[in-house]
This record gives sequence, C-alpha cells and structure tokens, in this order.
Amino acid sequence: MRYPSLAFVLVLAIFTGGCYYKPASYSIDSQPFPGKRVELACLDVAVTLTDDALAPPPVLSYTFGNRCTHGTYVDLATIRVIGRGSDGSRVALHPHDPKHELAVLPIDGLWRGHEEIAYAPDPGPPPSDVCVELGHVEPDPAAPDRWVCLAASEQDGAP
Amino acid sequence: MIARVGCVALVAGLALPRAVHARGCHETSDVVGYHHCSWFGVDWSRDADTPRLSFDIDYYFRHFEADPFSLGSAPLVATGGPTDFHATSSGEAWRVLVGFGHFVYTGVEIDGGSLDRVPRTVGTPVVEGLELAPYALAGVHLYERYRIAVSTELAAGFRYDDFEACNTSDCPDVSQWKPDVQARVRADVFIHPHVSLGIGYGESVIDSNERIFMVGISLHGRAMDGMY
Repeated sequence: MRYPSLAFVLVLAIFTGGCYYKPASYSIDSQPFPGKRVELACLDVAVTLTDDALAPPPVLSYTFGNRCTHGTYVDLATIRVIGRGSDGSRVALHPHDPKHELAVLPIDGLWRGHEEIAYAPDPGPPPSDVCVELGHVEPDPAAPDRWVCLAASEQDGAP
Repeated sequence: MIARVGCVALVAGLALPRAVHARGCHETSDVVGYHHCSWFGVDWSRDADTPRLSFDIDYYFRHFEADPFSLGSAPLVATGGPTDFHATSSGEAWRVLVGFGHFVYTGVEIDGGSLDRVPRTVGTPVVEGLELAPYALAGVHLYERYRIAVSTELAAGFRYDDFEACNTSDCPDVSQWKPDVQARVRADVFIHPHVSLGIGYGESVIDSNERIFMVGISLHGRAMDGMY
C-alpha cells in the first residue's frame, strides 16, 4: 500500500517540476520573455510590440513573473503609454478595452502571466514609436517611473 | 521535457473552469477586447478561477490506549505480565483541503494503517490489527512567510481499530469505534510553488492518551497555496 503512494508522489513531483516562474529568469518553460525587461520589487516585466490579425497597431505584449514567494498585484489597467509620431509629436495612448476587463489583479507567488493590449491614440494615426511606463505595473506610489520605448527608435528613457 | 508536459497538464487541470467556459469556442485573437473565449487575467490571476485546493499524502504514527478487552480466555501463547492497552499504529493519511480566503481551510482526511505495537491482553494475545480513521478538518494558517506555512487545525471524526489474534478469517478479534477530536499544529515548507513537505503533531482533546505525528507531501492547486 505504501509503494504506490510513493510512486504517485514522485510522479506528481516530476510532473510539476518546471511549472512555475523561476525568479529573475525572465522565462517560462525555457522560453524567454520577449522584449525589453524591467525589474520591479517583485515583478519581472518584459514588454514588446506585437502583431495581431484583428487588433490594429500598436499592440503591446506584456509578460511578467513574480519573483517573490508571496502574492503581489499587477496593474496593466492604469499603465501610461505614449505614442511618438515621426514628426516628434507625442500623444497619450489609451487601451482598447470595450468590455472593461482591465483591472488591477493579484498574482500568486512565483507565478507568471502574459497579456496583449491594443492601444489607440485619441484620435489619430498609429504612432511610429511607443513608450510605456512600467515602474508602476506593480502598484507602489513611491516607485520611480521606468519608461521603455519600443519600435522605430528602440531607445529606453523618458519620452 | 517531462516537466514541461507535466506543467502543461497541471495548468490545464487548474484551468478547468476556463476550459469549460471556452468549450467549442475558437479564439481568434490574444488581445484584450478582441478575444472572445477568454478574458483579461484568466491565465495568471488567482482571482480568475483557481480555488485553493490541496491534496496531502502523509505517513502517520499514532499512539493511543485501547479500551480494555480480551480476545478469549484460552491463551494461544502464554502472554505473561500485566495487561497493557497502549498501542501504536502507522499508515497513510490522505487529505483533501479547500481554502477559503487567504487563511482558513477545511477538508477531509482518511487515515488507514496497521498496528505496530499491539495491546497486551489477558488470554489470547493480540498479534496484529488494522486501523481506519476518517476525519473532518478545519484549520487556519497562522504564519505564512517565505516558503513556510504554520497552521493549526481541528480534526473531528472517529477511529476504528480491529485487534486480531492472527491474520485468518476465523481468528478471534475485537473491534473498537471511538469518537476522536484532535488539535493539531502543522508546518509546511514549499519545495516548489505547488509542492510542500509537511510535518504535523496532534493530541486528542477527548483522550489524553492519544497523540499523532504526521509527515508527508502536499500538492497545491495554487502557487504557494495562494500565500500572501
């Protein structure tokens, strides 16, 4: 009676061996987070521009992992995104959220997630560059801004 | 590779409510607002769909004192010495726990094992015995930090012990049913976000002679069992 249980436990242990976020790895199952990376208090965040068959550009792909063994929060709802036109003009971009899904949500310790969000200027053509402030993806009023710029310029820093 | 397959299987199992929701739905976009089989946060947020479920497999050691009994007046073997109804048992404890909120949990437990130390009776001696003990559990995580969770719980149920003179069906035996309520403390150390090793100790609150020690492994549906 004891041996099947031991085998059962070993199988469970083996099967769950890779299914969590390894702190600071910026990867899920050996697949690296795509894009530029920012390390926050507990969250490792990466962001990049991506394409989608339905959503018009720009579409930002966020991938994040919780380094901490306790839960924290992920705020992709109030994140600041700015588009920069080819003429240097700047415009605030707003997430496309017709179902009002975006919210500040908790994430478990050593867990990871991925979301893709489309942004649109209000109104206007798609920007050539997009800058996104990732410093507050993990809600902390005292945290500094962490701007990341993507696309044509591929430059980090304040927009 | 095995771990990755297992990871996929585990995540698929944890995402059962979503799978049910999306049955027959063909997703055309991964972008918020454009997907219609899924929704924001469903894959990663604890609030999405995953309950705090845990499955424990423990090995237990129990010390207790049986009620006085005799298997018969004719000794098969000379027992000698005074009677002693203290006994120990060991076996497996299977536990299924469901958490509510961040700290409270409840569940069921079934202990099944055999006697290691048998009572010394008058007359026919006890040679072996079996034990079965189902419990209802209610507990609370008192301390959760880093990879350690310390909990206290009450286990209420009954204990069935069968004392036998030999292992054939025609041997004399005596069975005892006793209600049982145990107060326990337990510590779990997470060796993986979904797996913890635990030890526990409990004493019966209605029988001062009963104590239980448990050691085992737990599989948690939520990473770190949703610890804050």
